[in-house]
Amino acid sequence: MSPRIGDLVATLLLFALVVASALAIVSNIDARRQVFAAMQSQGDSRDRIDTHWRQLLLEQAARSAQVEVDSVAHQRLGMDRPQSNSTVLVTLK
Amino acid sequence: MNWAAEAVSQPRDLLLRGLIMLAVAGLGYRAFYLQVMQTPFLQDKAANRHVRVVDDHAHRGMIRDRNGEPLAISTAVDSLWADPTQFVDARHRWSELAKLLDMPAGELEQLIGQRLQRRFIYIKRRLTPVLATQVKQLELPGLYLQREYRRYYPTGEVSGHLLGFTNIDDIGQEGIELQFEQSLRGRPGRTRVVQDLYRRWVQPVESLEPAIPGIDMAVTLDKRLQYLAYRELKAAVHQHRASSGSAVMIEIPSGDILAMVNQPSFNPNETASRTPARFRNRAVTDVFEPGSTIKPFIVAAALQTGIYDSRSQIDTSPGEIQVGGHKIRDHRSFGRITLQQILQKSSNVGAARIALGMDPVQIETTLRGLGLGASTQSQLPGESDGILASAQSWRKLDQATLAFGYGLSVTPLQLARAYAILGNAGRSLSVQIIPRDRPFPSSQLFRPEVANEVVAMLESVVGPEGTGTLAAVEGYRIAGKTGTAHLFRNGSYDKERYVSTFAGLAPASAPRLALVVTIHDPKGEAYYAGDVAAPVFARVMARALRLLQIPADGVSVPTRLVEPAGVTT
Repeated sequence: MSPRIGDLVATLLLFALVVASALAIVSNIDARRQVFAAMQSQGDSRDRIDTHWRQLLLEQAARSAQVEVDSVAHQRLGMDRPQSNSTVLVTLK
Repeated sequence: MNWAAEAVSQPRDLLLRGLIMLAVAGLGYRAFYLQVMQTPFLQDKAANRHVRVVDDHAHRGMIRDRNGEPLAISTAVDSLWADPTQFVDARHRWSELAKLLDMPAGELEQLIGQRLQRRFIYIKRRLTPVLATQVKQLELPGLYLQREYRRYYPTGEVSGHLLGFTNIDDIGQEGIELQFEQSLRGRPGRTRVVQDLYRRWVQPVESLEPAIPGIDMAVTLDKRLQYLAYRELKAAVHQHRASSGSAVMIEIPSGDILAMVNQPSFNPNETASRTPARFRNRAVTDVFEPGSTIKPFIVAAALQTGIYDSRSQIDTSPGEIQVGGHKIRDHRSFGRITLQQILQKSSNVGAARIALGMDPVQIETTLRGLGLGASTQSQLPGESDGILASAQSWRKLDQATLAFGYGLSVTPLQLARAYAILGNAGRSLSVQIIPRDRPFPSSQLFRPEVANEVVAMLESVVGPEGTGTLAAVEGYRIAGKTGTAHLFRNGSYDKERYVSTFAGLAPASAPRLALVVTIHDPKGEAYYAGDVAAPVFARVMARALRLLQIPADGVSVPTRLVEPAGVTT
């Protein structure tokens, strides 16, 4: 008697565990998918920002090119290199 | 129970049961076969229709200058393509697109209108980001943007030779891009995605391999100096109708290459201007005979051995000397002159006399120690060794002509290094384009007094009596040497064609920069280095000294000196 009941209980318990682990796997896979999708979208926005940053770097490089700076300084701002007669050399003692 | 009792029908009954069981077993096996044994195959079949593995782009590493300014950047761009079968529905709006793309409407009509049965046509590749957004806003059916990656070189032709460029597959082809391909290259990752009927991504499933971007590199260049060296060199090559030219600037004592420019050049951003002859980084690949720019080293070698000192006089009259059946000439007879005057006047006779008075092995050892006729190990691709024959093979004439820079070939970079060593108080230095973890061990080639003495002598070259007065920079002391050598072509020296070189150091009181400017075959009236190369040196050096905030050391400069009022240090 008692061994048979014991077997039944064990079987049911194992069955329950199997079902539980199967469900756990399913929910885990789903969670993984969601996390992965979230990561991917984060990655996408990182790429977007990175692309934008690179374009800004290029734009900065273009605007800070010597030719550009020279012409802006010279033509728009009327700046000139100081001549030697307007240079004062300060000697620190 | 009942059936078992009917013993009569037992055989037939058994047969029937057996058949049924066989059939069930057959079905069971088939189900098992499809469900279990064939699963991978069938799942594959299904997956093939909608699951794909795509490459994740990994950016190629950026190249920056010493101040972090970008010199090469990879970035995403969009290419515009159309599916004519859908795009035809928007025919009445094609002109809007054509206008946006700055393309004659007829051209677009011709491009698409004649290929209506096709499914894919590039309309324009690599749009600017702004344009791509505008095109997207048109919302025309059948118009798609495809992501592509391209490399931009903000400095364009200024640094084309040094940086090189990449091919359509983003693999380095020349210059630093080629040499450091392994570090710069990104390793693309792979992602499994689900896609729809039109092969558009629906959802990423899993990452198989992460993308590893390339490593960013910093080179020793200074973008500003690079630019101004390029501008001045280009102007001079153009003005003197020269065939080519190079300029190299090295920082002392680090050995960093601050600028390296060549003419003719090419724009690495445009594939059209890429013709192989223009790719050569002449500053490291092309050798030339340095002419009189070699004289300071002969003088230094003579001082080092102690045969002469700064007061020694050498008789150069009558302005020519017969060596091995050849005449070596000066422009005129200088008479008895000091070592300093030999450099100042650039006397071939004087230099030849010094060299002939020395042990040839001593001369060779000195020149080799300076790295002439040997690669600088700068890590730039295609670097030439140059030529310096061994002393055992020299005839008297070779020894004499070597003293004024014939019979050996060097690259502009080698010459710049040799001057940098002179400016570094005679101590050798490692030339580098990428900072090295461990620089080469340095050695003392000349005693510091000797090196400093020669630098001081070279100041007179730029002085009022010298051959290089146009190399003077206001406010600074400049030491340098001119060199005008006949071009060696087809086995003999061309009497009409020259290589004009100016090599120098600044500020002479404590050299921080070495600069070599060499211009090949100037075809104008002027061909002397003092007229062709020296002005380029002066313009580049003047701005470089200012940009790098190197204090002025000039004493006789026309600046007003004021006493500091109440300033203490």
